[in-house]
Amino acid sequence: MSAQTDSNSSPHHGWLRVIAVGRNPRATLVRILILVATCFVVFKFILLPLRVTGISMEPTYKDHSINFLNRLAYLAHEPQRGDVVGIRFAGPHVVLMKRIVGLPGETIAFVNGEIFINGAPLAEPYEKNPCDWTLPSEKIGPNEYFVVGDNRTMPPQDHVFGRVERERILGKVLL
Amino acid sequence: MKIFWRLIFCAALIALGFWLWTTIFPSPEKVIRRRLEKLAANVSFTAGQGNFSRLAGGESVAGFFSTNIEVNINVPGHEQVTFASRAEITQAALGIRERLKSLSVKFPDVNVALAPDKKSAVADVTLDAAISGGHDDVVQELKITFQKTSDGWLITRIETVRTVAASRFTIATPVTFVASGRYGVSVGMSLLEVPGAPSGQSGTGICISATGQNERCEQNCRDKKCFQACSNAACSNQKSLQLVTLHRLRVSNT
Repeated sequence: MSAQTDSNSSPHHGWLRVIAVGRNPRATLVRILILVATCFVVFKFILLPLRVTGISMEPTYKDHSINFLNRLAYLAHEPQRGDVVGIRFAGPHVVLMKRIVGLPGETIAFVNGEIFINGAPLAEPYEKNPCDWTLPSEKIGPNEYFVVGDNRTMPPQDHVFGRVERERILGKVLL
Repeated sequence: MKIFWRLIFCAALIALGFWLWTTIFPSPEKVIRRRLEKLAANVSFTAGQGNFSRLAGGESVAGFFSTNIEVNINVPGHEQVTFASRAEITQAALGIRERLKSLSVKFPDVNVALAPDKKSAVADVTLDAAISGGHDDVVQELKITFQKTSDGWLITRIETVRTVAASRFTIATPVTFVASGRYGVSVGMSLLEVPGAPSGQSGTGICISATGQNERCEQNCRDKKCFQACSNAACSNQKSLQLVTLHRLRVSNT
């Protein structure tokens, strides 16, 4: 009777074992190690996982949403206008998420909520809510970018925006 | 094979020795990091914390600072904070514990640069503070200067680092005056002026009135009369007025 039971359960256990550790446990272990190492390298140095906090990038990025920061985005080229980038503080653990609207050497101004670059209005299809910000023209330095959030319905003093040095831009927001 | 295991054993022994050495005799960088962790823990408090422990925590904060200090923290959207003595630090730490339900302070990034004489150090840190009831965390880069004393590494100076160079909307030193509210309750008002801005120059003046019930009114203003009208409007449906703050912003030429 017991032998019968063993013969019945044996294939069941074998099936579970294949699911858990594969047909070749050594190869599975190597695969797991490679996967862990790859995830570590990717999510530590290439695609930094982000959790958005705050409303300054709404409606494009909602509060508490998840995203990734591509740190390799600017290896081949410099940041472009319209890119949403991560700006570091003292290190990479907390970053500021803003959109680049002004490039080095340009002159930027806000007139009744509209951005003017070198005197010409900037088309901003991502800007859904009208605002009334008015700021005098400002020259962006040679190694600086002008960043601002998409949610400009809040008063300007509650919003972090302005010129940021190139070396503080860690990468481009992926999604 | 024996040699291999012996090598492994030696390497493990060396690693253990190194770990023990650095634990018993930590580097100044490590000591400063630990000081900052402790400071963050002492500044923080939770809603469920008892009064005694809150008081003890608040009083212990001053112990991290030197007797001669210069603290100047200016976070966009918040009032500028300056301290020049340990007593002011203690007072502020206790005041915050009375005003807020909870506060969680962290320094997620710390870069320590030791001076060549190893008697002072500058820590470039990211301050991340979560305030109860606040929608967003307060995040600000700070430069903290430490001095080595007989009491260990003490903070002598804290200054704000501008991660994003603020645009020409700047909030400057508040000028406070007191007036009477329409319900006979005293109203504290702050008129914020930006130095260097010519008076009367066109710019956005924003009046923000906040009441005890967190009701808010915002209005573009250019003169004091408008500010007062704004505060009255915000308070018209409030029976007990707790706080009215008025901000005036001007476009700065600096």
